[in-house]
Parts: sequence; C-alpha cells; structure tokens
Amino acid sequence: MAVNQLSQPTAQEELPVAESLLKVFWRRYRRNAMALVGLVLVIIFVILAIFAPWIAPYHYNDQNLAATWQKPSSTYWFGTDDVGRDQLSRIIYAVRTAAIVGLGTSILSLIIGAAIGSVSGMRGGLTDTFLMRLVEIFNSFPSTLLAIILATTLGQKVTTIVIALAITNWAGYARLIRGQVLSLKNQEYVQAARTLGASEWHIITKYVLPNILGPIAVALSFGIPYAMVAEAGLSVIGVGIRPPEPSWGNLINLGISKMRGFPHLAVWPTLLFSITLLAFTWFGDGLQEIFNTKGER
Amino acid sequence: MRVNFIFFLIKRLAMMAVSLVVIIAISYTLLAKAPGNFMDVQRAVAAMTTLANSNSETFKIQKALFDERYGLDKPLYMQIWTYTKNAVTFDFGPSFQSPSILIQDMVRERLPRTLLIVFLGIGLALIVGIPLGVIAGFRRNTWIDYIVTGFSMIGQVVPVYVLAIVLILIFAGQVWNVLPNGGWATPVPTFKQLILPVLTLALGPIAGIARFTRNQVAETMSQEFIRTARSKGISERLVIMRHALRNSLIPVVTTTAPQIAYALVGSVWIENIFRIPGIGQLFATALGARDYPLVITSTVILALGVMLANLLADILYSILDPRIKLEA
Repeated sequence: MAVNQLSQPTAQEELPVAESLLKVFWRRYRRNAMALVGLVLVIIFVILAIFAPWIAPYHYNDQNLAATWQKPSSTYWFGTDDVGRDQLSRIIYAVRTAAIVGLGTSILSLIIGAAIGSVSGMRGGLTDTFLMRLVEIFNSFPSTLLAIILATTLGQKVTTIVIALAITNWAGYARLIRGQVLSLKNQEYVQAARTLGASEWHIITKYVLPNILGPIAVALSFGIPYAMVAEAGLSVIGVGIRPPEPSWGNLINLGISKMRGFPHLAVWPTLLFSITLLAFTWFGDGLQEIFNTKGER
Repeated sequence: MRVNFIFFLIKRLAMMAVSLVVIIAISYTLLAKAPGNFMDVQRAVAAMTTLANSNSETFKIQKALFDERYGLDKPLYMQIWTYTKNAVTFDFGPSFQSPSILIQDMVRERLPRTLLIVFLGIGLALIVGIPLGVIAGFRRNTWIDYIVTGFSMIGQVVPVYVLAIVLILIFAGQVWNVLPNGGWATPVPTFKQLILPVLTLALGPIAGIARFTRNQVAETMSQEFIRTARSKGISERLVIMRHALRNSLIPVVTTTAPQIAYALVGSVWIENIFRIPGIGQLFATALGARDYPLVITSTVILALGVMLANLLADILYSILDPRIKLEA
C-alpha cells in the first residue's frame, strides 16, 4: 500500500496543502463506523426534537376517550394510552423533552463546573483546596439519590428537573476543567500574556477556554445521555416530570405499570430510548477520536 | 508503607464522615423545604377514607403533638445535629409511618436482602464477565470480540430499569411466562424469585467487567515479555495461562469495587420494579409518604455503602500495584 502511494504521486491530495481543521476532524471522525451511525441517529433525534409539532400526527395531549388502550394499528402506530393519547406522538414529543433535559442539564452543570474548576485552577492555594474538597464530597456519594431528593423539593417540572440534575452533576466538569487549566496555566504563551499584564478573566476567556473546547465537547456529548438516564430514572421512582407532558421517564413508567396487559406500551419507549442512548454514546466516541482524548471519559 | 497506609485510612475515613454529615444536612434541609409533609399526606388519606374534611382544630392539635414528638418544632440545625449525633451510634429513631418500629430495626431486616441481590449480582458478573473478556481479548477483531464488545456497550449504556423491563417482558410476560416478575412474599426468597432481579443487576457489571478484562488482556498480549515467552518456544497455552492471564486479571479486581457501588445505587430501581422489600424500596416508598427520617436514613445507608466500595477500590489498587501511592 505505502509503496504504491509513493510510486504514484498523482492527485493534489498528495501535496502538502494545508487541510482545514473541519476536514481533519471529519477524516478522523468517519474512521469509526459506529460513530457515523451515531451521528445519523443524533441528527434524526435533533430533527424530531425541533420539528415535533409538525412531525407528530397528534398533539401529545389529544385525548380520544373512545380509543383508550389501543393496540398498535394503522391509525395509532404505537397504540394509545389510558386516556386514548397517541403513543407515537407522545414519544416524538418525549424526544423534545429529552433534548431540553439533556442539553439543559449538561450546559448548566458545565457552567457551574467551569466556574468552580477554573477559579480553583487559576487561584490555587486555599481556594483550590477548599473547592476540591467540595468536589470530592459531591463525587463521593451517589448523585442520583441526591437528585431524587432535590427533585422532590423543587417540584416535577422540566425546568426544576434540569436544575436538580445540574446541581448534582457539576463535580465531574469542575474536575475536568481544573485539570485542563492547571496544565495550561504554565504554558509559555499564557505566562507571556500574564507578564504583559493580562487580567485573569482575559486569560481564562481568551487563552484557556479555546484550548479546552475539545475535552469539553466530549464531556458534553457523554453528559447528554447521562442526563436522559437520570431524568427517566427519576420518573421510575415517582419524582420525574409529571404527565401530561411526555418524557422518556413517564412513558417508561407507564409501560412498567401496564407491562402485563399492554406490553407495547413498554416495548416502544424502552427500545427507542435505548437506541437514543447508544446513538449519543457512539457520537461521543467519535468526538473522542477527533480530539484524541481517549480515556478522559 | 504501614504508617502511610494508616494515615491514608484515617484521612479517607474522616472525609467519608464529613461527606455523610454534608449529605444528612443537605437532605434534611431539602426535605424540610419540600412541598407537602407527612401530616398533609396523612390528612389527605384520612379525608379520602372518611369522605369528610377532617376537623382543622383537631388536626392542628394532632400536628403539634406530632411535631413535638419528632422534634420538628425545634430549629432545623438542631434537628440535623440531633439526627447526626444519634446516627453515630446507629440510632435513627422511629419513622413517621410506624412510630412503634425503630428505623435501625427496619434497616437490619431489609439491608441483608439488598446486599443479597447486590453480591449475587456482582458474583454472577465476575463469573460471566471475566471469561467473556478473556476470550474477546485473545481473539481480538474476530466475531467473538465484536459480539462481546457490542454487548458490553449496550450493558454499560442502557440503565437498569430498562434492562429490567426487557427481562420481565421476555421471561415473565408473553414470550415465556416461566419466572415470577417479583414480589418476595416469604422472608427468604425462592431461587426462582431471585433469578430476574439478580440477572438484571448483573448485566451492567458483566458488561463493565468484560470490557475492562478484554482491554487488559489485549494490552498484556502486546507486551514484550509475551513476545519473549513465545520466542523461547513455550506453547501458546502456557503463554496464556502462565504469563498473560495472571498479569491481566489482577487489575480486574479493582474494577469490581466500583461495580458494587453501581449495583447498590441500581438496587433502588431493581427493588421498586421487582417489589423487593430492601433498602432501595424503603427509600422510594418513604419518599412518597414524606417519611423524612426514613428517607434520610436509607440515603445514608446507601451512600455509606457506595463510599466503602470506593475506598475498597483504592486500597485494592495500591495493594496490587505497589507503584501507586495512596493519597487522600
């Protein structure tokens, strides 16, 4: 192979033309077949989330009391629930809820984690010790249990669930960002900026942040499915997003309670939910290859 | 080393104590601020059963008596302090729902059930996961490897409650109705009642252990001492048995501890879906009834278990790999 390529210096590809960063990323990304599958599924997921009202055949709360507990049919592809709501439409709207919960939670926990992690890394000393002890405490116990209690207190709406999950999940981001800040802090160009009198804020936003976007993107892509799992987990315990607003959690919960008589109510949400989770994980694996951050998961 | 180890242990245990106090304080504060309290839930139930609104004067007196009895009339920090102080000696007081039974007695009755499914699950995961990982590691990039890797991906990504549904639908639903889908009527569960919960709980750890073992074996096989052993003319079987396996399996021990932590937290969902009267079910039902002493105690017990598992992981790590220094 290599010999072949050497003996035939044909196309322009062989010439050392500067490749755009995006092209490099794409070349690395597509090496992983599952990452491509993940990307396609994530795109479908995003389209469903954005255009749910136009794609779904019914509104998620349209009740047809003459057609409750329907088995899958041509009118109701995935059947109907206890008050005759179309299960397919509810699943499509649940994708939208999951997108809000997944993105909202990851971004909010990233903001909290970034604030604490960068202050901790830049300041060092006592501040660092104190904040890292806090991170350790938050890391040491099961965050899901705390999220369950927090959701009980804050209430069972989408916004409050996002807040509850973010408050319990920022510690990992803080640790990641502190580590990155520490490794960048002593780089020559950062020191040069500091010598020139740049403020700490300027250094963080102009030098440190752009350099850690890769690991952050990877962490976010794994944070999204994590948040979805946590959200659905809350519903199964009984403190998740309240119906009629559909979410993976309350659809799965209904499925669990009606498994005996109406297995289709359990099958479709769990199957599609699992596929969504796998898609995001494959997508994250692909991103990891782009940024060469294997093992920081 | 000895002194270091003792120092490490003291530091870690101190950290654990601090964490537990923080958990107690946070959950206590949160639950005190939560909408709806135990007496409100009780009143709603009473109003529903008697089909009449309960007399508000009598209710007020009842509530005052109740508050005094559980110390709820004291300031929050005093409540937290009293609870924490008593928790040190494993005295958690009575629960709201059943004032005559002490919480520690409930824990003593239920914890063994939770531990039973957790440890059976982890045991199963080791028995199944290690061989799967070893086979996949030695046969890298073959169909066996792809199946094992694909399966462990699914097992690690899909949460326990989804796995539970899948298994119930297959083995206790329309496909094969061969196993009970839960409910432990007898104090000691029958073998059949154990199969589904334990299997559900084991799938995640099986996936994690298989994946880790596979990567360990694959890494060991690319090391130089394996090449040396082969070039000395030792049979492939001996290379695998004597050189490769020993070196790749030791690190596997360390992944078991985090899996115990995973299984402990997962037991909350398992016990609720399979209706197993353990700590996890206690946590969820207590939360629904706003029975706060019970919620906090079950949280503390589960959190303590998770922390002990993580501590165990660090200790095992340093024992097996002397290059790693224990640092708290």
